[in-house]
Order: sequence, then structure tokens, then C-alpha cells
Amino acid sequence: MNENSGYKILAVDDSPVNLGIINSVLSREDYLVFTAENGPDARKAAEKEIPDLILLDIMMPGEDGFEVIRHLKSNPKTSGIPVIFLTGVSEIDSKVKGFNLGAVDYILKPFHPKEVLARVQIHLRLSAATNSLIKSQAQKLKQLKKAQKELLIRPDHLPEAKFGVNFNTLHEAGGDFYDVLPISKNIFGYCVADFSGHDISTSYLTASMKALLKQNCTHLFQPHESIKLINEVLVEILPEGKYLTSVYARLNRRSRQLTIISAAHPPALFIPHEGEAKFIKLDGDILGMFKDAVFGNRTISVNQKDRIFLYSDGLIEKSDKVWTKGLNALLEACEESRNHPISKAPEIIKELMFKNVTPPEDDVVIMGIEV
Amino acid sequence: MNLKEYAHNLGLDEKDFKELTDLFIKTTLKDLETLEESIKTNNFQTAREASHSIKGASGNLGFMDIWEEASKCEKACENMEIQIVSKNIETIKKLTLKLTELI
Repeated sequence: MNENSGYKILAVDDSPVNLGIINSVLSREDYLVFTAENGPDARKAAEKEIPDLILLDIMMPGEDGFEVIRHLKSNPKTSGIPVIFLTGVSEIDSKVKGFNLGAVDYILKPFHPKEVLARVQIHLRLSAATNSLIKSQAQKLKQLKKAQKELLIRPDHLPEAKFGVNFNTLHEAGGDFYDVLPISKNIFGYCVADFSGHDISTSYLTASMKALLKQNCTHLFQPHESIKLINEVLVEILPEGKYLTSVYARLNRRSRQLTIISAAHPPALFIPHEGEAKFIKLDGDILGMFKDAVFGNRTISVNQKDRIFLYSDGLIEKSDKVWTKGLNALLEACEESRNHPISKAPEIIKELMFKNVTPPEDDVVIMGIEV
Repeated sequence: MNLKEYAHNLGLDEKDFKELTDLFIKTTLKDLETLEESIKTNNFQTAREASHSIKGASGNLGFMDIWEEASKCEKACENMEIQIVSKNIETIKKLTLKLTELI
């Protein structure tokens, strides 16, 4: 709605008499009425005026009403405008076709001006309610995204954990998640997880996952025990069909032991300070689906300045559709980032991975850890 | 019925209705010319469109006698029945000209 005037209505009919009737009845109620006598003029007027509603005659010489709706719905500027079409009583197929093309209602001809007014009013009310709902939902989702980001720990919050991270969500409620946990003075837990789906419930689940990691990744449990406990709770709380893949790394900086637990997650990449880089490939079930799930588990010895990279599948899938090629590209990118501080490495790796390809179509998280 | 009653039935201002009736007479006479020309050349598609236009406008203004005749005319055009169409044209013309008395 225009702030300085009433609602704008575009009426389209090849009959000037019909346009006159519509104009007369709507103008009396202070609607701002625009008219067009053919399809091309209607499309131009719709794009220029962006009316709040369109009344569209189906049977017009040349470009008919169906063609006009098709154009309107395929144009981002006009696709959201509700269209009511005007059709004869015998044209049953027209009604179905009109609805299929995106019309919100129809008015039978011959029409009564009062019916036109009543239908226009009800659809403007519906449209206003829908727009208000969309605005309110968008606002809530923005708040959710902000809250979700605030849940995520940053390297400057925990410098002794010596990690860097690059995290991008495409959706207001992203499906990727990471966390870093100080377990003791020299032991830290690092986790990257990827929830199935990107709906609103996912963002609530990321908050649950953070709480579960904090409760279970403690000194009292071995890494595989922690993940098993978390899985048992997730099986109970996750909605049907919802699950996650995850990799959890526990690094004991004193004993220089690194344990990796994988729940069907892409392999962690180990880059020793001196020596050949390698993926730590582990089999494992997904989290949150089966009570008796089994997870991949390996412990390796590490040395000072060795690096480990954990990431979500968005990093390797979208840089190249073939996983193996994506993994090779990741290996090269991680090697190239060796001379950069660990705080900067994830950002550099992501830039290298998406240098010559379209931007990622999924959430992407990459975390680098230095011993 | 007089003009005031027609306007009242439709919930329109009498002044607006008078203007619309005037517009209807002009466009209908023009559509009738198109109709006559079209059937002379056996262009029944154009003839049908013209009768459809008269039907729509008359129905919306509440001129139901013209609407009925225009509906028959549209059907006759579909069936390419020249004689019936010619008869319909004459009736519609008479009824339309009668409307001038109203305004």
C-alpha cells in the first residue's frame, strides 16, 4: 500500500464498460484504480505501479488473461501481487487453469459491482495478513540467526585452544554447527556437526547440541563414551527423520594424543608440521538415529605445530561435485595455508576452495586446530 | 426500470451509471457494426468476440434482455448460423437504442 494514498487496484478487461463499472465501484471506496484494455498494457502497468491487487479478464483478444498471469508470476517484481480473474460461468476449465497459474480467486461474469468490491476487500485483507506474517517471520528468523551466531565460540574467546574457524550459513537457521570445549587446562574438545535440513527446528537443536557437548565431553568420559551418551539423548529428542553427522576431536596437549570420533562425517585432515598430510578416514553411524550406533574412533600421536582440520560436507561437495576431487582440492588448499597462522588458515582455505567455482549452495564450516 | 433503479441495484451512483450506459451504447453500436461486417466475410471468430463483448458489458450493467440476446448471438456465431446472427443483431440494436430513452 502506498503510504500517501489508498490501495492500488489494476483492472484489466478489453471492455471499456466493464472497466468503467469496476472503476466506479472501487473509486467510491477510495481505491486507486488503474486500468488496462489488453495484456501487454496490463503487464507494463503492473510493473510500473505495483498494484496491491489485480482484477484480470481471461477472455481478451490477443494476449489472454492466462498469458498475462504467466508473465506476472514469472516476474519477481509482480509475482507476489494477488490476481483475481474474471471469467464466464461456463468456463470451468478456465477457473482450474487460472488457479493453477497462481490466481487467488475468480469472479463470475456477469458480475455484480458489490461482489467485486467484497472480493477485492477480502483478498486485500488476506494479502495484508500474509505480508505481515512474512515480515514477522523474517524478523524472527533474523533474531534466530543472531542468536545462533552468539552460541558459537570465537578463537579470541578461547585463545589457549589454538583454533581458527570460518563459518558461513546460507539460511537464517543454518544446519551446520561447531564448538570448542575446554575440558581441562591442557585438554580441549573440538566438534563440527551438520544437521539434516535447515528449518527453524534445526537452530533449536544446535543449542541442544551445544548443551549436550558441555554436559558430556568432560574429564570423566573417554571421547567415544561422550559421543555415545550424546547419541542416546539425541535419539530421544530429535524429531523423526532428523539426524546429524559429526566429528569430534579431543586433543590432549600434554600427552600429545589426538582422538577422533566420527559419526558418518567427512574425514578429518591431519597436516603434520613435518611430513605428509593425510585424511583420517573412519567409518561410523550417524548421530541421533540409532540407540546402538557405532562410531569411528582413532587415536594418533601428534607433535607441536601439527594441524588438524575439521569441516562440513558443504566445503568439499560444492567446490566439486565429486567427493574425491573435493578432498584433493582441500588437501592442496590446506597445504597452501601452512605458512599462515591457524587463526587465518580456515578463511584462506575456503577462499581457495571456492576460487573458480560458484558460491557455496550449502552451509560451510571449516575449523583448524594447531597443536 | 429507470436509470435510478438500475444504478441502485448495482450500488453505483446515478451519474456514474448514466455515463456507463452512454459508454455502453456507443461501444455496443460499434460492436454491432463489427458483427455485421464479420459475418459478411464469414469471419465468425471476430463476430463471436464482438457478441461476447456485448454480452459481458450488458450483463454487468444489468441489461439482461440484451445479455440474453447477445448470449444467443455468441452461440450462433460458434455454430456459424448467419440468419440467426443477423436476427440477433437487429434485436440487440433495437434494445440498445431504446436505452437512449433512459438517458
